[in-house]
Amino acid sequence: MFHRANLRNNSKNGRSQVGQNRNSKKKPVAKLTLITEDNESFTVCKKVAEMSMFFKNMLQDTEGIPAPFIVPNVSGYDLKKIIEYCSYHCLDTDCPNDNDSLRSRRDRKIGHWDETFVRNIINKDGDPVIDNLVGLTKAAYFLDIPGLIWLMTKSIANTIDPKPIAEIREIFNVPVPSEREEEILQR
Amino acid sequence: MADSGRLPPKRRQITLPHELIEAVAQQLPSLVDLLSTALVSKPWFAACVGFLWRKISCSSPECMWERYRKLFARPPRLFYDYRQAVQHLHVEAAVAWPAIVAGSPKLQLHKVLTKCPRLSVLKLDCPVVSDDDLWVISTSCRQLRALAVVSSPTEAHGRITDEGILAVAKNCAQMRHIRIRIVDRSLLTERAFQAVARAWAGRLRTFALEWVQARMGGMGVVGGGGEEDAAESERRIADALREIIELNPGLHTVSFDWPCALAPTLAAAAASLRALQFLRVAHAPDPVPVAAIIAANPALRSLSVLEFDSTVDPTCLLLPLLSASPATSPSPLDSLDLDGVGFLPTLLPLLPNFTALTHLRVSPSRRAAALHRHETDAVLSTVLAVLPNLVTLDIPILGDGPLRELATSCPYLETLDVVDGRGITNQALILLSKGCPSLSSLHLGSAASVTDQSLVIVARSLGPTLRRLHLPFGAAGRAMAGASGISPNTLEALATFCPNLEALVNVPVATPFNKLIELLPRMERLNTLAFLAGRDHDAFEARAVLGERLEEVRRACRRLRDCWINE
Repeated sequence: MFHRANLRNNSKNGRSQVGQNRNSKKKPVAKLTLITEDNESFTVCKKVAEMSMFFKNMLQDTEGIPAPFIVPNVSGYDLKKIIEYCSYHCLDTDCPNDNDSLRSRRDRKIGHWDETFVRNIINKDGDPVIDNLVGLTKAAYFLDIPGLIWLMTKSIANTIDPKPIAEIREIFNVPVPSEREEEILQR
Repeated sequence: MADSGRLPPKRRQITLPHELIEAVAQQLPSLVDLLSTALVSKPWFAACVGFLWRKISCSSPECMWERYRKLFARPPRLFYDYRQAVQHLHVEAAVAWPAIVAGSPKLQLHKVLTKCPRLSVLKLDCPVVSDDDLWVISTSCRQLRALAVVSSPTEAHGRITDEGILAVAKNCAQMRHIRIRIVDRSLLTERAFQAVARAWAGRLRTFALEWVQARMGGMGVVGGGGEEDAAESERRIADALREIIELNPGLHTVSFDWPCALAPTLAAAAASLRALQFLRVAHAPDPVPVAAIIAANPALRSLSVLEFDSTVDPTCLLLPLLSASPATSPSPLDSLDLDGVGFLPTLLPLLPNFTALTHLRVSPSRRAAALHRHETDAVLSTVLAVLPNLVTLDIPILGDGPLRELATSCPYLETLDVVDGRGITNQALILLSKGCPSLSSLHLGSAASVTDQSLVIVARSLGPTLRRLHLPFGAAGRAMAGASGISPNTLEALATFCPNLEALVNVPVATPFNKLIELLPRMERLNTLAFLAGRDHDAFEARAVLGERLEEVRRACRRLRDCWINE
């Protein structure tokens, strides 16, 4: 599905980013240093990083572990959360993936750990809920982590599930469309 | 939820990429939510509309389809041509079979379907297409991957003969799953089956051939001719069916309910099919080939044997699975549906060997179960103790014993049908609701001594999980006589604690009307509501009164689709 297309872009992207590190010494250590756009650095195991198709492809392409890698488009907070998620789930065998049928994606239930994980995101220093969820969703989408994308989209769906249109607009701060536009949509 | 008091003064609009809106839309549980999400703004609409129309299913074709047809008939007036998005179409039969054949609506499906370029699954549960329609549909939807059709014996209601099947075989090269149900079996001959065998050789995954018996005087014209002709045609059909099976060793789902040539077909299946996962056989004259198929396919996950000859010991079907799989890896069978089996005491002791079972439906004759009442319940209790994965259970349970066992050992149970449970008491029901927190569908049936006391606790402990509830009709009957039974308290508890309740059946008609109008709108997701009228005089009056005001009830519940009064 859409991850596939995205993945191709990402791997191309990744290649150009790490190209300059090609000549540096290839170390067989299974650790990877990541630096976010706001200059926070993280060290993660290769196994954890490979939960992300983006890193996995990059590691395959470069056949080794590059020197500190700058992760564009992802903030320190989001990456911290992503690493937390990946460290917990890196040994799972039945993570949601792109090959799941629509029905199984929809009917899958959020596990206990995941529920707490999402609740902690929501409670982060009193920011409006959805901003954090959406930020992390986008980061997960950029790094292409199917399990986390599923969890995040499910949580967003749960947030908007029983709500009327006006409330959904308020949550996402979407401007109310003009009457004409609304009429067209209603049809 | 968004704490508007704390919002920063200038909050920027939150945008999501198209793919992520799509992914969110996929997760929404119901169409109504999807619709309100789609109407948020144009980008959201563009992402959601595909899902909104992706799967169309109409349960009562007469009125639902008429609305769809009107919508689809005027695409230029629409913002988006919804037909582009339709991928699945499922027309269900709302009424039982014979009635459907007599009164099937003319849906003129072909006119709409010719404009659905992405249609890949077409499931029709009632006879609404004819040979000509099938030809039109197959030429315009060449990408069809799954087709289920029903053929009626009369020209007026969609008769499918060899010609229709030949057209599909010629045009739809992608077909993987095919299911044909037919009332008059003389309409299909070996020509159709040969075409099926040759067109999709090696690619079919599902093949189902079912004969539906509709009892209609003078309509089922069986082709004339002597006995020899009949034997000859049966032989030819058997050859064609064998060809289908031999050419498609990859079949994983097979369903045979065909009155002629069943024995040789089953023998062929036993000889060549090795990848079967789902097997359904009905009216098998002889259990030996069925047992042979089962023995050859130890990976079988779902087994349904219906209308089984009750003089045959059903254990002969399950034993091959046990002997084929070594003790270390038990059979993966997770769904078992045996109908017409009267040997609970011989069959039940085998079940503990199938630890993967999640769906269990064994329907022996009611009388046999009632006669062996204590024995059945006792054996069942020991069986349930070792089947911890059960999700669906439909087996005659008469008393409290099995319910207590379920409460302690089957925490994943979601669907339970205890329609025969006359002896079930409040205590057992309360235990069940505490021990099986995933229970979403509960059919209480004839439990006469179940009252408000336990139902309120059930509502409270199951809460949002509960989706379908059939109240006991025994108690409802007594409530009208003034005895303790089901009062508005139960409805109140359901309205308060069970926001996801979709179906509520057997509400006593004697419930005060103002209470109904107050409580029903609070059950926001309710789409099916049935009242129960007793036989005595009071009930008759209450029924008459409610019958007149049913329209008001419908108006009060936003999502209510079906509403009726049971006798």
